[in-house]
Amino acid sequence: MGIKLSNVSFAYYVPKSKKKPIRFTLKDVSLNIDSQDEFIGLVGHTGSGKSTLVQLLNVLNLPTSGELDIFGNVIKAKTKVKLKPIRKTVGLVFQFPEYQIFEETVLKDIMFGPKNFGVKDAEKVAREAAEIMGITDLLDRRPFNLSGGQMRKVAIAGILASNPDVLILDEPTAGLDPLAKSEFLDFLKTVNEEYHKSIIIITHDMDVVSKYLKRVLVLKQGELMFDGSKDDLFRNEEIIRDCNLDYPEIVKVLKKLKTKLDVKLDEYQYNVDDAFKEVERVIGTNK
Amino acid sequence: MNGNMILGQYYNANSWIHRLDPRTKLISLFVLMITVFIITNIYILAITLGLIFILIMSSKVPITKFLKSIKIMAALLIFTMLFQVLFNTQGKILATYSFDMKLINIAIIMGLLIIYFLIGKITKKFRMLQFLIIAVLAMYLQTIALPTQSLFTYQINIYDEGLFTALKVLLRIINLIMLSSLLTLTTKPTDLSNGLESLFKPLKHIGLNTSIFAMMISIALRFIPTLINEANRILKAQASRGVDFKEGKLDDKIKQIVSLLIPMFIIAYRRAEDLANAMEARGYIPGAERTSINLLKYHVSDVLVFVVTIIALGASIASTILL
Repeated sequence: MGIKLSNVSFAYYVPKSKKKPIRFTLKDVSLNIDSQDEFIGLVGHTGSGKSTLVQLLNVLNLPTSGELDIFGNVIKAKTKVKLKPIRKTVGLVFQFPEYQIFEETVLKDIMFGPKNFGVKDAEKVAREAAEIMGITDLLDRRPFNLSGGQMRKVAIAGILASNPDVLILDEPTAGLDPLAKSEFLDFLKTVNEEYHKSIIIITHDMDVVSKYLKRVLVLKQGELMFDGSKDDLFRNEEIIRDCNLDYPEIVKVLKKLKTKLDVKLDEYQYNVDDAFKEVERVIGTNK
Repeated sequence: MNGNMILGQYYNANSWIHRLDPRTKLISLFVLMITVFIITNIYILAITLGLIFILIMSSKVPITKFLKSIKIMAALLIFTMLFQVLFNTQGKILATYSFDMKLINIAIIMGLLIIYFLIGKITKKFRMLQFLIIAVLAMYLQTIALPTQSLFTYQINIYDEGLFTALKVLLRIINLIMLSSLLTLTTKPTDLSNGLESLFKPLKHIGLNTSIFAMMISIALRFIPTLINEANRILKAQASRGVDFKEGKLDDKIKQIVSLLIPMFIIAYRRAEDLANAMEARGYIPGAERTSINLLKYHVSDVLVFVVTIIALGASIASTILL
């Protein structure tokens, strides 16, 4: 079970005449995503096909070639499968999801998704989702008077309420203030750890990658360049340079310390405590 | 979204028609359309079509682009011709066809229609041709003797005037389509709106400010692709929330359309507000005199085109009076 892509390519526009070259947005992508416990970051330069890939996982786009297997539903270029159940199992939160809000009250808008997917107790699950997102006080408000961050929370609650098995978020922290951002990521972490849901997020922020994520996918011009743990990624200087990626701040600081002080130090630490321990260890040995 | 969304049908090339002042092209088009309407002689209409073809050749726009715009109007052309041929009863009778509608004919027509729709499930190509073949076949089967009782018989007479007028109408419409395509294919939409603005400037004396209208039109045109992109995004966002625009009951569908419309309205309003602020920040004052980076200027070629156009108009008037 889970999601499996085998040699999936995708082009937004396929020219009618066969002579013209097809401009692929995704080229030959193969990867596996487990149905549980994954916490994946999708990184890459702008225009590398990240958003296209997640829309493919939500079957909003169908692959131009290759095969896509989502929880046992095999999807090829011209298969006719009921897409709605697949969309229920894989929830996608768009970049700037506040634009999809349209109902009169926040509660109704959160209920919209579950109702479409035929969830019986739509209001109950909507209230639960609102509680998880911490927006119970907004439920009776009109959604259009909310602030950007609040709107985003409403939109995410709308997806959570449908209770998908895999949750995909397209740049969920863009435009959120630092506190809201770390709160939100902490929340995702709890969802991942307590409810064992697989989560995929698109991000540009290497600090987010280093602090929260388990596995990283790197896309470059539609090709999957890297698929592995964040530690392997940051130790692979070639990939970091080729794909215009950056190091997390902690790694940068430790790298500077290492070169300036010329000490033996493992600079690949991903949170403040580990970094502190490592520095302490080095100082201890140098005394 | 597919990257093939083109607004207007401007074809980029460098010919003397492309370089003409848009005002010249607009006025000439207007005068030449009147000319085409004045001409009643079928041979002169054919000659006009030939002259227009020479213009098309010199415009460096591939002829297929023009044929495409005729293709869009093909249904209209065929129906006007059919009506002329069938219902014009002037002149001599050229031919008479008698038809006999029988029960079996009705059954055959039903069968053919079913086949037509079944083919439509498989392929979407040559639908017009398929339909015409079926129509001709249905008519032909009524002329041969088939078993079963006759329901009613009818006759179709073809008159020479009818054929003539049909041909004349056909030529006239093709002339008009070619002329107007020549304008839209060789002139950028922005140039067109600039030209119109400049042509209607005298309306200022009766209190109409054309520059505002021109600005409104060009902004509206500019934002069509942007809004289509936004609509696609909203469609996808709602689809991932379980909206299915293909299936579902009527009241569900209305609800689903609302889920697209309301966000679109909000986006349009928000964009309008941002654009208004950005324009004011850059010193746009509605109704104030504005200068343009591309000044419209008449050249020698423009004067020549005007002269030729007037000659064409004169010639057409002379031809109708003399012939």
